[in-house]
Amino acid sequence: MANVDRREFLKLVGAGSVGVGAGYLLAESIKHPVEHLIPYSVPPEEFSPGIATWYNSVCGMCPAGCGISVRTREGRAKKIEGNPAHPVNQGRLCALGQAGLQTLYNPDRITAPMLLQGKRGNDAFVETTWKEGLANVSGRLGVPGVATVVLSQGVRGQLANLLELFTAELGSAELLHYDFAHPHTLYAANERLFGQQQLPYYDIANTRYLMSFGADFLNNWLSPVHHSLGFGHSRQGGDAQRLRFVQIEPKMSISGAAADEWVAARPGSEGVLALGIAHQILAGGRYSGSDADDWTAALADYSPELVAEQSGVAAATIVRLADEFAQAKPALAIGGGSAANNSNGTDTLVAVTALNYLVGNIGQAGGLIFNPDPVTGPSASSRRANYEVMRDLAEAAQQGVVDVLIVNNTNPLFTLPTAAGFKEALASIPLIVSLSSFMDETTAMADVILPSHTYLESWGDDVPQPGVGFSVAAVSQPVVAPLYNTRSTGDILLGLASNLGFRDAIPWTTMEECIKDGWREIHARGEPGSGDFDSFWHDVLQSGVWGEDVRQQQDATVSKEVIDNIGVAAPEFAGDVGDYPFVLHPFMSTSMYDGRGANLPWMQELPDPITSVVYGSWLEMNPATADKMGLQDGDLVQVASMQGSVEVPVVIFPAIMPDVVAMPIGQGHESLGRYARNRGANPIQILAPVTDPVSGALATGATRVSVVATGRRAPAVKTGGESRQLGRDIVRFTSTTSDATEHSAKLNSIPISVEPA
Amino acid sequence: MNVSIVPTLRVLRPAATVALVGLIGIIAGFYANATLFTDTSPEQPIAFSHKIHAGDNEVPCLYCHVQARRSISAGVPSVNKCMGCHLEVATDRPQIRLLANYWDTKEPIPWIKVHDLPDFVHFTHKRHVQAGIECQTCHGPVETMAVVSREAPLKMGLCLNCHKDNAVENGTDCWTCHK
Amino acid sequence: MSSEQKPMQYSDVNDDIVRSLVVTGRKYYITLAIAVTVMVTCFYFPWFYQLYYGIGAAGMNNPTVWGTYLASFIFWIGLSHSGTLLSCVLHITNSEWRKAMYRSAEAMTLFSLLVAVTMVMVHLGRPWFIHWAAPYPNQMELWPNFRSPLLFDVIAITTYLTGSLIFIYMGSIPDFAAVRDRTSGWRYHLYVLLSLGWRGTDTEWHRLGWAYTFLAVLIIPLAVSVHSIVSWDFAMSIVPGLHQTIFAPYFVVGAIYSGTAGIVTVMFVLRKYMNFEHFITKIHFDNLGKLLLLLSLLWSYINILELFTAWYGGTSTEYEQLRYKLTGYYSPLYWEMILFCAVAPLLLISKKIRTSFVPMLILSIVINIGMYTERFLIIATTLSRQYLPESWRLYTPSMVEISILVGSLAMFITLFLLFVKIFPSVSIYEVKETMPKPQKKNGDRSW
Repeated sequence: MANVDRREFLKLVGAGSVGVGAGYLLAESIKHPVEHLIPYSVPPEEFSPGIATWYNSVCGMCPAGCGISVRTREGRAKKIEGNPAHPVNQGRLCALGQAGLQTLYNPDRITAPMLLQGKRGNDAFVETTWKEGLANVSGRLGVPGVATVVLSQGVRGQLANLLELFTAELGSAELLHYDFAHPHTLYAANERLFGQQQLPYYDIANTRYLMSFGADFLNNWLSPVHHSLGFGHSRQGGDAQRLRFVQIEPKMSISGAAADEWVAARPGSEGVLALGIAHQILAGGRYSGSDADDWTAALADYSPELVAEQSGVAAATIVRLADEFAQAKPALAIGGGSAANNSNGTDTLVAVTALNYLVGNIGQAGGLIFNPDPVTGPSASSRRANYEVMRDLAEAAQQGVVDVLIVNNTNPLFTLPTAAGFKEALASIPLIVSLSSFMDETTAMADVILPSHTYLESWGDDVPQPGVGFSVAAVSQPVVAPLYNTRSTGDILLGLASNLGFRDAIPWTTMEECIKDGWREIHARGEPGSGDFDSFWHDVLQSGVWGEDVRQQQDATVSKEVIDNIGVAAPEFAGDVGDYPFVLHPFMSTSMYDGRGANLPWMQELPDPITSVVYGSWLEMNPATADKMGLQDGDLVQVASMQGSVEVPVVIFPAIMPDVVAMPIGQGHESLGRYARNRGANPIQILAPVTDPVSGALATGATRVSVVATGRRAPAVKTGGESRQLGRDIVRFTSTTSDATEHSAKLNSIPISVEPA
Repeated sequence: MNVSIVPTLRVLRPAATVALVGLIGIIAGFYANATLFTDTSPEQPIAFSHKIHAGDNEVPCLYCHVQARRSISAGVPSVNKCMGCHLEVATDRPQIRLLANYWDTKEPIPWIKVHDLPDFVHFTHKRHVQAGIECQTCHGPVETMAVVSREAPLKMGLCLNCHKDNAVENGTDCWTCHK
Repeated sequence: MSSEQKPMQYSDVNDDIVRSLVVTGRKYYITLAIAVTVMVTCFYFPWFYQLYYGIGAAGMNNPTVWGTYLASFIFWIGLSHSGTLLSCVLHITNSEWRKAMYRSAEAMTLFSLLVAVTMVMVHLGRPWFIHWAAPYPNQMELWPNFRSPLLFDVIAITTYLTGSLIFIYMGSIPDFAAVRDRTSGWRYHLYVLLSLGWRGTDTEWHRLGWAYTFLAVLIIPLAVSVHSIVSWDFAMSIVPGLHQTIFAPYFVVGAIYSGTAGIVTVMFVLRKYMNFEHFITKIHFDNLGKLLLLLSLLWSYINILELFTAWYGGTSTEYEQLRYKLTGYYSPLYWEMILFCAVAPLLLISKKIRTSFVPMLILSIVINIGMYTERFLIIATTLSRQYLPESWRLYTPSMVEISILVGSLAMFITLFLLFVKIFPSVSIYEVKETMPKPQKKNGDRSW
């Protein structure tokens, strides 16, 4: 052993200690972090840890009213699925329905009642208690002679009843249901033709020929999940013939992309086209009803040649479509989208619905089936506020007529054009109360916020709209305990009612009680001796849906007066063709609906099914038009109407008419939350105040715009790149006409820039 | 002409000794930590002895770990389960008094997890218990343990071997456990 | 030590090379300091930034999931090919002109490989799992995928690295002994250890020669296989433009090509800065130039083959790749590559150019720029234009990637600078073989 002197000894000790330390730390670093097992003191009875509990309820994300089953674990909602027992969606659910989780757990929810302590619109809210908030509002409502407007999103069922009662008890109060997407013109058309108050059931599942005039039924027209189910059923054929589907619209919608034949008709001419087809059906002798002569007389002016001129669709095509439509048994015609939202919207839909009458599918499988009245809630939708009503309301408010405005989960500041003057109206209303769960644009202008639960935390009931041909109703139950210091809308109203002393008319203390009471009537419809109410209620909650094979009388007679007055006027457009060369076609996007989906990240990142754009707005433009204007994909343009302008990037889109440009609705929020704010543009605000005179609905397709390059670029973020095949046989197709081959060759030769400049 | 390496070695010897001592230190430190301060048997807030309960008194596993047969997690008994007996039994013992304190203050007992799998592993107790696998297979002879210690290394190889030996359907598919 | 006055002696060789090891001027330290600084700031700092913020900082995304890092990786592996491979081939063919430069060339190989390995490390999204690439028995009871050329890479490059290390070390043993006998202090002890007690006996020389040749013969197929395997990282994919059998020879030829150009650069630098003017002469540059010309023609031929097969094959995807390469967004780079690698080297037909040092330096750098472009284009163009037009995207290198490329060059220079102070960078004993034997005075046994 060599001699170790002191210096070396110290070095060795040092090295040894450092080594031991290093080794210790090394061993420490590969150990697992300490995790704890925290037991309960007393285990809960409602759930077992690790085992999921499913609750059936009703989706509240759009008016369709699909049934949902929500999987919860340890009291937290984990996944929303469709309720297999519900006849509307039969176990399926759309993307917006899935995003209900993000509505519930959204970080921008209003968590407690708020009072404004400063100027409106400065976000100067201070938290308060329910007692104080309710007292504040009921105090003002209780003043005699105060003029109140209750502006609610379209609700049905017992909550709608409660709103009616409440408003009635208030006295000088008006109740309005306002939804952007409410199909006013469709209701008006069905009422005019058949005297029906409810929307009919369109039996897509069993039809063999579907002609859709602009109705994006697979996307967000009426009840898209149910339509998709039906569409799949009729396409798969089964033992019957496979569905043939024709879509007629100026810009290809998502439903249009699935069509066998896509026909581009000039905006607003769909009604004339429908009448041209009707003319041909009669001319071809395919209608044998007793009023055939009346129809022929009424449709004399709508020969295919004349219609071809107005609509831009070849006469031969019109004749062929009419023959195919009349020969297929059964055939179904539906209308929506821009066809329903021009200045001639109601007349257009009357024409479309008349086609169903002429092929005799009213009340038949595969056709148009009248729906019974809803078994719960008010039956008429007379309180549905169309644009003219809202405009009148705004005017009245500006004159100081309205003292109190109570807003329930509707956002007119976003979904009304600026021309309506709603912003100015709000400034003139002394007290604005909002019951919304989120700080949307309208709620940001409120004085008192009494935040409501989301639908997943509330008791409610609903009847799907449109119905499915027989009586269906469902109960919506809370799937989780309320997250925050909020209350369900019904409970808020009951609290106000209690403060105002409306005990006689409104005796309930909780919404659950109110709903149960309402459902005793439904229980009473059952056979006597079928069990007591409590077990009935239990069964309804467990299955999530109630149904009864009660059908509506399918009396399809059209009065002579109506027939004689059949006609579709030319559409009106606001703006001179010279200054505003393009027709703006705003469309509800898959993910945003009317803008409510914008604060849900899943919906922001959901690519638009056709353009694959995420997280923004865009302007769809025909490639030939873009080429002529020297615009490339991603160029930022200013879209200006007579009412205002917005800036969005261009997306080259082949399936749109050259003088039409399209923009999705839903983005462009100034408020609503961190995911929605300052993203994209809102086309609604630049819409012209043109209405359909029959229904009073806003003609969203009646605005002409100009498109001017700003010189800047802001390419839309897409998940997909090139939209053409460039010689690859990925999607094979054959064209039936040489036109199509030539056209597609021309299309493929137009340079579409894929790479940034 | 031979050149001897010895002078060089002599020059290097001090540095080499230091390096050697350092290396031995690392190994010693590592193993000292791994054996003396091992995390396989952490100290629990209450000195609960499985030997007394599951061993001597033959309380079945599923009496306390109720969810093992029907849930993904076996669960740890709630405090009221313990109090079910210990309101009466052995109330004078200091550990039982600790337990009673937790009960009275409605505080849950913060047990330290001995058998912990990483978050990317999806293990279902239900499937394994219902397949007839004894608890002791993975958790060791718990009924003889005064303090619970982790017997099995709970590494992926353990799961794979058992899945292979018992020909589990889709047992070696990545997605089965790493969904 | 001027070679004009009297012919070089054996002792001159020893003196020159030992001096290159022992005497260190200020220039060296400054160069080393700059190289280390650039390496730390341009390689390590951006890498730590990337480790913190994730691989997205490198600009890689779908569909171009490989970017500059892989191009650099292949570039460095390519550079590694010439050193050892050339040294081995030239050794077996008994070429004279290899003797002065092969040591540095082999060192180039070694360090290129090391830098290439760091490139692999840098391009990983989870570099702390890099050890999973190696097949070792593990607690997960999983083996890496043996069907994947990425695993072949691991094995091939490790083998090549080991082989090159043994090769260069073994060949340097007599030189270490020579230096050992002429130095003192810590250097003496270092070279005592490194020279493994070499005495210079006949038996030892005989064994060394045999082992060296044996290894040289083995390394040739190894080197060919390494770059073939690297090429299969691409050729075994189904991406149009990559999925071609020509890739293995293409890459090997390209590697030798760029490596030889690299040798020319290194030789020029060594010659100038280590005062090796009489070791590395016009003859060496002339021969390297001829080799470069041959390789350039081969490379051009293979490129024409690629274009031709893409054209006459007629598949839309291959044709699109061809069209995009020649006329698309990256086409300026493509034409630059053709100019630098196919057209410019034609200048090497002229002996005057081949024997002029500065033109050769410029040409070698130009060739390497062109070859780097080739590697970059292989990745960027093909991945930007895969099967579905829907997923076509552009890729541009990010600042992090470019900086790391610069830093890797600095790392290579640093390693090389350290090398020239430890290894004799010109082989003492082999150079002596090119010189006339010294006359022995009577009774004089010293060399």
